[in-house]
Amino acid sequence: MTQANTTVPTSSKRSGGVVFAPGEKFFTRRVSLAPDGDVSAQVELALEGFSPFPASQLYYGFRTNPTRTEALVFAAFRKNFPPEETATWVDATAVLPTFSVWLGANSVQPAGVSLRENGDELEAISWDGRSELPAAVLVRTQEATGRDALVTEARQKAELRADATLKTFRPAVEIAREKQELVLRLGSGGIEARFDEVGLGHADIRDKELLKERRLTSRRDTLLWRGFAAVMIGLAACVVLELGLLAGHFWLSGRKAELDAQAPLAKKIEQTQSVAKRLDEISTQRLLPFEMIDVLNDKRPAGMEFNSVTTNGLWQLDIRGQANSADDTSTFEADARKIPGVEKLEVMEKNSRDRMTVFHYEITFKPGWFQAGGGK
Amino acid sequence: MKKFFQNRSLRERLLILVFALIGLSWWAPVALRRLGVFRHEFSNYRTDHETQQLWLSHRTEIETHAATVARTLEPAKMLDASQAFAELSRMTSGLTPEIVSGKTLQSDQFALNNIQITIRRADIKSLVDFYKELSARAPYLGIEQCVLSADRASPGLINAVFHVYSIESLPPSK
Repeated sequence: MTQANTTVPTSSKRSGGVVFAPGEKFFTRRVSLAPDGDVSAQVELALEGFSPFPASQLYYGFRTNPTRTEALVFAAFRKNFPPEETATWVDATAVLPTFSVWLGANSVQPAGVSLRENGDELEAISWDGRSELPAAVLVRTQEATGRDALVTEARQKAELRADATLKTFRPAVEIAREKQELVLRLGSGGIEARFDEVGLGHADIRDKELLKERRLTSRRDTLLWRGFAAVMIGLAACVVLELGLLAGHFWLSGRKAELDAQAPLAKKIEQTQSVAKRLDEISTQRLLPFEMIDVLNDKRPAGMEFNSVTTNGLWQLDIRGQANSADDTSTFEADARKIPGVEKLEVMEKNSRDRMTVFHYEITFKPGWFQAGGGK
Repeated sequence: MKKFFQNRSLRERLLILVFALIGLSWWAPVALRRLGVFRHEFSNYRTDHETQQLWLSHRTEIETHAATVARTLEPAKMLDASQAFAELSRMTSGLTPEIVSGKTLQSDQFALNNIQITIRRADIKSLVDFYKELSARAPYLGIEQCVLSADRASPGLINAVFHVYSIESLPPSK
């Protein structure tokens, strides 16, 4: 466990929407987790165990490894942060300790110490070569402790040998937003920590209940904004549609005027065609109702009468009538079908009642049948 | 716009959203209905336009065909509506006809006059005589459709309805 430094506290630094709380105010511990359990509850329980203060008096956060078997818990006594400093946290996207860039938990780091010199602040991160998370995190001001003393302390915390590798870094932390992740990266590259929404919620040191409430508020605001944006897009689409319709109607009325201007000519051509076609038919083919009836009458048995005959086009007769016996109608149908000029005879209806047979035939003649000899 | 919206209080944002929603739910169906009407009008226009273009594109061949047909007819034998009416009245003088002039179909050169003749209780011989006389005037005067039915009250007599046409030659238009 690393104890919080008691030197003159520095204040939080803001970069974009992220506030970095001075790392020297935090004490850290790597704890084991049951992967299936609730991580937050386990961390809280562990914190109660190793913290000198109750959790309610701490600002704390944690970072788990990818398999969720371990977490690095970092916490700071609330009284170390004056109200005017925490007031600036309210609208921040996240409040993280300055050493958060080391919490990438991407892969198991080789045993050794990483030292970052950032102005007058020294960050010593011990890796024991067994975990993706640091074994110890020590942050001090150069005024408070010497560089070598800090490195020695870091090696001791991680139970490393005195000659364990030391890597020194100087660049500042760069912040980027990639997709839905907050990315902290050392300017020299290589060291990077990515926080998705859940990870950022865990690492954020602010009051967890407050964060939960903020998350809900933020989700509600996002939902409201998206709904509003969708409605505005719909309204904009309506405006576009109306303008399009206006232009469309204007265009269509122009086209219709052209159509109307040519309509009399088209109508005249259409009538010319109709009259020419009709005249063509009239001069080559004539309706011959009496000739057709005459041909059929020859085949009509004496007991059969035609009550009505209607022409249907040039070649069809619609005949309704009655017969004294069904045999007469059958004889007529058979004989009529044998007439060379008759193309077909269709029985549309035939009923027998009280020895009287009522019939309805549709008889079609072959076009040009009469000119071909009349069909008798 | 996002900043403007986010800076409003929750109540204001809800009110803005509700009003915008009301506006959209009123406007969108109206706009869509208007779109439907426009599409229908456009579809009608396209059909009319295609039909008109079809007629216009066949103008020459239709007029050529009409001229060819016209050459086969003798203008002297043609009857206008009044002449046809008078001629049919003469042909049916021994019967009890009801003669009604109908719609006329006409082009630049010709008109087809339609006349309906209803004859009640005629004997078959009179009808055949009328038919023969009418047939002699073909194709200038002819039957378009006919209905013959036995008169129930008077056995042996026939009621007949003839739809007759007459071809009329029109003076050339200036």
